[in-house]
Amino acid sequence: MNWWHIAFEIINYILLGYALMLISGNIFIGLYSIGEIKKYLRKNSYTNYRLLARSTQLPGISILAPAYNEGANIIENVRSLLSIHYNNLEVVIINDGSKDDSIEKLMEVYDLYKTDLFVNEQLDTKPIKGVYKSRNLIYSKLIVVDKENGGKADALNVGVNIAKHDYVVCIDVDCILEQDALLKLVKPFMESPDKRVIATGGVVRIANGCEISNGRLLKIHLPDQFLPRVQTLEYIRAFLLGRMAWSRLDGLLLISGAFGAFDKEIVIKCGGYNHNTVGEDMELIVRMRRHMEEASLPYKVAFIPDPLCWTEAPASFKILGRQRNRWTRGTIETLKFHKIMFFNPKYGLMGMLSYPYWFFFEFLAPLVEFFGFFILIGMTLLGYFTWTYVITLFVFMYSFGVLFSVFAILMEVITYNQYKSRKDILNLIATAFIEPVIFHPFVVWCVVQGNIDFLRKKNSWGEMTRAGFTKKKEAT
Amino acid sequence: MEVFDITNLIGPGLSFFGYLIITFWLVTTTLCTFILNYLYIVNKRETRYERWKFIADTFIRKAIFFEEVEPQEKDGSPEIIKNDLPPTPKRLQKLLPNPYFRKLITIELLSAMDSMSGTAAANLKRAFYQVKLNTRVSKMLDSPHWHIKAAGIQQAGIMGMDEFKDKISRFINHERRLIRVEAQNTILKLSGFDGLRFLDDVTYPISEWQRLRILEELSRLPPENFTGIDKWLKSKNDTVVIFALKLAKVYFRFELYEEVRACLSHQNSEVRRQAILACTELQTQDTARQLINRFRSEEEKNQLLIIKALSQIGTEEDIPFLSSLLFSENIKVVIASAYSLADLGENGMAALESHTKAAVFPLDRIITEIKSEVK
Repeated sequence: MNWWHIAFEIINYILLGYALMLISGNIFIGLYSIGEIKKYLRKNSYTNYRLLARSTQLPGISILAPAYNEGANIIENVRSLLSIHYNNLEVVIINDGSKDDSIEKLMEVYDLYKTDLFVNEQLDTKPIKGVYKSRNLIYSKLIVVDKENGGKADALNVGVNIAKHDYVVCIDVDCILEQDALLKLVKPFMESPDKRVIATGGVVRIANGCEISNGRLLKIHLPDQFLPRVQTLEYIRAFLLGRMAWSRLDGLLLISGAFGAFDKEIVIKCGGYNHNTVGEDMELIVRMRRHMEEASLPYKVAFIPDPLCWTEAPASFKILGRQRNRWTRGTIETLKFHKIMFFNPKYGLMGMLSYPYWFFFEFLAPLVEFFGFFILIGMTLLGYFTWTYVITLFVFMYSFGVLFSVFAILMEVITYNQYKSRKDILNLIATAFIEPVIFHPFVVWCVVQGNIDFLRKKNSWGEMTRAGFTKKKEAT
Repeated sequence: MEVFDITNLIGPGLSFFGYLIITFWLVTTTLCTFILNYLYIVNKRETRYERWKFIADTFIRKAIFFEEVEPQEKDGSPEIIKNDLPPTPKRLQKLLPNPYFRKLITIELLSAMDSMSGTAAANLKRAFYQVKLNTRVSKMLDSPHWHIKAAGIQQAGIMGMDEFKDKISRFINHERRLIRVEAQNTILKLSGFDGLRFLDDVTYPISEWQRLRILEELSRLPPENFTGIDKWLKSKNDTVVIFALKLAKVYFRFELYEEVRACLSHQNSEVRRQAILACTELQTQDTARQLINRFRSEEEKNQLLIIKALSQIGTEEDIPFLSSLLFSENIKVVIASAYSLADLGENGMAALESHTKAAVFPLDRIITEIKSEVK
C-alpha cells in the first residue's frame, strides 16, 4: 500500500464519518423536535387569543418593515400590517431610498404629512430624509420613514431608533401575518419570569399559490410551480423540525429576518443590526446571545411552531440562486465575526454545540458534499473504488434525504395539516423524491458560489424581484 | 484495497449501507402509508364532523333559546316550574359514547358558553350536564396527565362547575405551571374576586402573561371592594407584589396609598416600577415630591417613568427639577423631561424655551417637535 492509498483511505473514512454524523444529527433533530411541538400544542390549546388581543394591559409592539422598491404592492402590504389584531401597536415603514414611487404612493393613499419628530439616534444609521404620519386618525398607528439607501440592516436600525415600544417585530414588508401572530409572538416575552426572553421567532411559510385578498390569506394551497413547492418542503423541514429542536435545546442561532420579535433594549445594547454582513438576522441573534452570555445574564431565545407569517418564495433559479448565495455569505460572515465562541466553554451550549454545529453542518456540509462528490468520482475513475460502491453511497444519501423530508411532511400533517387535500400532500411527497436530485444540487452549487463570492469580498445584497401576491392572483 | 460489491447488498452478506438503505426505504414507505391513511381518516372524519356539528349545533341552539314556561295558576295553586331542557335527541344520545363526538360537542358548548351570559349561559350549563359531560370533566381532573388535567380545570371554569371548586383549589400552587395557571383562572371564574385569595399562598412566580389573563378575567366581573391587597403588597413572592400593585392601580384603591408608596423602596426594580405607576394613579399631594426623592437612586427605566409621571401629577413646583434634567447627558432623559415640562402648561413651556440649552442640539430639535405636535 503506497501513500496515495493511505491518503485516499483516510479521505474515504473522513467522508463516511462525516456523512454518518450529519445523518445522526438530523435524526436527533427530527426526533427531538417532536416533544417540543407536542408540548407547545398542548400548552397553547388553552389560550383564547381573541379575547386577549383587546387587552389594554398588553405590552407595546413596534412593527419595523423596511421597504426597497416595493411600490407595486406597498399600499396593500401596509394595509395588511395595519389590520393586525393587537391593541398597543405601531407600524413603522422604512423606505430605504427606493428608486420607485413608494413614498409618493404612501403619502397619497395614507394622507401623510412630514413631522418634526426628533429621532434619538441610539444606533448609527444613514441620514433620515423625513418622518411622516397620517392626518387620518384611522391610520394613527402608522409611521413612515424616508431615508437614504443603506441596506436592510441600516433600515431596521432606523426603525429601532424610532420605535417607541419595548418590543420590536422586524418583518419583510411583503409578508402576510396571521391575525393573532403578534399576540403569539409576544407571549414568550411575558411568560418567562426567571429568564429574560431576548427574541422570539415564528414559522415562516410559503404563500405562493395561496389565495390572498386585501393583504389577508384566504385559502392555503401548495404552490403549482416546482421551485416554490420545493421551498415549501424545505421550510417545513427547517422550521418544524430544525428550529423546534434547537429551541428545545435552547441553542437557537437564527430567527428568520422575515419575521422575528426582539427585546429593543438588548438590541440597542448590542449595537443593533450589523451593516457589514448580508446575514444581519443571524448575526444579531448570535451577538445578542453572546452579549447575554458575557454578562452572565439568564436568557432565552424562544420559537413558535405556529405558522404565523406567509411570504413569497423565489420562483426562478436566478433569484433563488442570489438568495442562497447571500445566505451563505451571511452565515460565513457571522461565524467569522464570532469565531471566539468556537468550542469555547465560556459561551456554554452556544459555544460548545450551536456554533460548532453551524460550522460543521450548516457551513461545511455543502462544501464537503461538493468536493466529496468529485473526490469519490475521481477515486473511482482511478480504480480505488468500484462504481457500485459509489452508487450505493449516493443511494444511501438520497434515501436518507427522502426519509427526512417524508418525516417532516408527517409532522406537518399530524400537527398543523395546512395542506389538507390528498393531492397537495401527494405532491409534497413526490417533491421529497425529486428534491435531492434537482433542487439540492442547485443549492449546493449556490453555496459554493457564495463561498467564492465571500473570498472575493463581494458584499452586495443581490436584487430580489418579487412577483407580488396581487399580480399573481390576477394571473391565476 | 477491498472494494464494495453490489452482490453483497442483498443476501447473506448484506453490507452496512445495504441494511441502512433498506431500513430507510422501509421507514419511508411506512411513513408515506401512514400519512395517506391518516389523511384519509381525517378527511373522512371531517365529513362526518359536518354532520355531527350540525347535530351538536342544533342541540346547543335549542338550549340557548330555551325559555322556561311561565308558571300559571291552576285552581289557585301555582303550576310547578319546568326546569329541564327538552330531552336529548336520540341521534345525539347514540353519538355520545363516541369519544370524537364528545370532544366535538364539548368544544362547541365551551365556545358558545364563552360568549354567553344570563339565561342562555345557564341553559348551556344545563345542556352540558344533561349530556353528562360533567362526569368527563371529573375524570379529567383525576387524570395523571398534566395537559388533560389542565383541560379539565379549564372546562370546569368555563362551565361554572362549583362542585369542583375544592378539588381545583388544591391545584393553585401545583408544580406544573399550566395546571396551576388554569386552576388560578378557574378559581377566579368560580369565586369571583374571592378567588384572588390564592395569592395568599402562591409560592411560584406569576408570569406577566398570567397577570394579564387574571386582569382580563376580573374585568368581566362587576367591580367589588375586595380585600387582601394590603397583605399581598407585603408578600415574599415579588410577582405577587407586582400583581397587587397592578390591582391597586386598576381598581383605584386610594386607601392603600401608603402601602403602595412603601414599595417604592423595594429591592426588586420591577416592583418599584409598578409602584411608580400605581403611585401615579393613586396620587396624593406629596406623590410628585416622593417620586423626585427616589429619582437619583433609580435605574434609567424607572427614572424615565418618574419623569413621565410628573407630566401627569407634577405642578409648577416641579419645573426647576425637570429643567435641571435638561442638562442630562442621557438624551432619553432630556426628551422625557422636555415633554413633561411642556405638559405642565404655559409656565412649563416657557421654562423649556428659556432654558440655557434651548438653542443647542438636541434640545432645539426636541422643542421644535413638541411645538409642531401642539399645533
